[in-house]
Amino acid sequence: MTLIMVINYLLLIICVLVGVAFVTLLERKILGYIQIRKGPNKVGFMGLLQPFADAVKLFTKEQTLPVMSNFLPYYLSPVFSLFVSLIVWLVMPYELGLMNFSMSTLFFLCCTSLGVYTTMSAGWASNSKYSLLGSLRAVAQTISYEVSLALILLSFIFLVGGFDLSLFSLYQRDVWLLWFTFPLALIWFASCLAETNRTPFDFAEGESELVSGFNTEYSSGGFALIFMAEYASILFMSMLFSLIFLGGNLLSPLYYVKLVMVAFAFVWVRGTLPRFRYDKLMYLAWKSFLPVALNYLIFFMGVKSICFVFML
Amino acid sequence: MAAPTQDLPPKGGYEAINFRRIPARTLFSGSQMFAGFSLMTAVAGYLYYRTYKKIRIEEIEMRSATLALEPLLLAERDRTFLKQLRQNRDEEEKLMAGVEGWEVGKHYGEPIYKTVPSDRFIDPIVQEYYAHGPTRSFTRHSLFSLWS
Repeated sequence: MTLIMVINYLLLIICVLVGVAFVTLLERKILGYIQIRKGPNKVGFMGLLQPFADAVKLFTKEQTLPVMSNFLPYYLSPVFSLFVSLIVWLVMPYELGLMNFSMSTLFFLCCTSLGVYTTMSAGWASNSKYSLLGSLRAVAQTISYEVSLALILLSFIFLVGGFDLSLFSLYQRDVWLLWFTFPLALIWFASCLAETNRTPFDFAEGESELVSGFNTEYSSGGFALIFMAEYASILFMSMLFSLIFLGGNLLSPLYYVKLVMVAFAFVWVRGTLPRFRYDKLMYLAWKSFLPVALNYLIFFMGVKSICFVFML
Repeated sequence: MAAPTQDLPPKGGYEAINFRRIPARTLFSGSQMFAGFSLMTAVAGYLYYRTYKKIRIEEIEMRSATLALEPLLLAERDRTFLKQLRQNRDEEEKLMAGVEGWEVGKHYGEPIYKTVPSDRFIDPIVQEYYAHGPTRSFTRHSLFSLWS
């Protein structure tokens, strides 16, 4: 029984990693078409072998090591970041053989909080001003948006009656939760963008502002791992969005189509919107999203109590 | 030599530059959007309420079924336990047939529990229960008991 679960999980991870590879290609093609040009289309048919070419390039290039960096955190931060991004896929409520995880939501929140540490230590251990500033800005942004993420998730825990993510599939039999909680869905999407350090919240990368943010000092191997962690997080957030809002029936193929549509939305936003100014980003987190999330939480507490009263 | 020409503005001057903002076309006004949102939330809320009722009824049914089955399962467990005890006793009889002074159910003629009346039955310890079987059964039992 445990063996089946382990094998299922490993297969899931393999599929996620292949998905990550092709999401990089997807992003480059979509950004290209948004910018009225074609994305990569030379390597294979329509550029389909581009991820493999990239992987070969990254893993055969020299792995640099800044002399004054703190070696252990420098080397292990990307590793740990990828580890956390992959371990969070344990909560995927695939009832035909993955873990029967009754505290999925809490575990997901724990993993996103751990991801903050990796960004911080990567920036600090590089021993470079640009990395440190980039990572500290990213950390401040991430923890601010984590608060509204957790509160929105708390509203849904009220609606769904437990911490288990498989309950979302159960409760969306008749109606998607998107229609019921539409503003929360929008805020959740924006908070996911901020959690994964995507434009318009991409201070971690801060391209053209801070050289390259917290991954300035990372060359081939570390860079590859950091970006694989980021894309794995993007795929996971898309999965979570489809699960919570767009009818989380994991046994229908349409669910995976919706997942890719949400990932497409992530890339679409990247191609369309400019970066937020830092103080406006913080204002949005603490003075826009947080009050709305709190008020919706109280609203759903009321809804649930009314449901309860009328049932009895 | 041709007469030099000057680059002059056209006759009547240039037309005026429109520097004013061109506001976006509004499909719905604010109150219309709010009304639509309220309607959507109300309808979806009603459908969610219906789903909640159905799921609650299903949960109650599941719990009732579990409660109803419990005596049956406990009885089955007790029967298996007692059968195993009987097998253990028979096995012990066969094993210790040649030993002098051995009474089945006692330890070299002495009762296992000194202060307990002799007609009281006390469950054997785990090691004794699994003594005559394969080690893996005992290991499985121990792992289950220690890890939960």
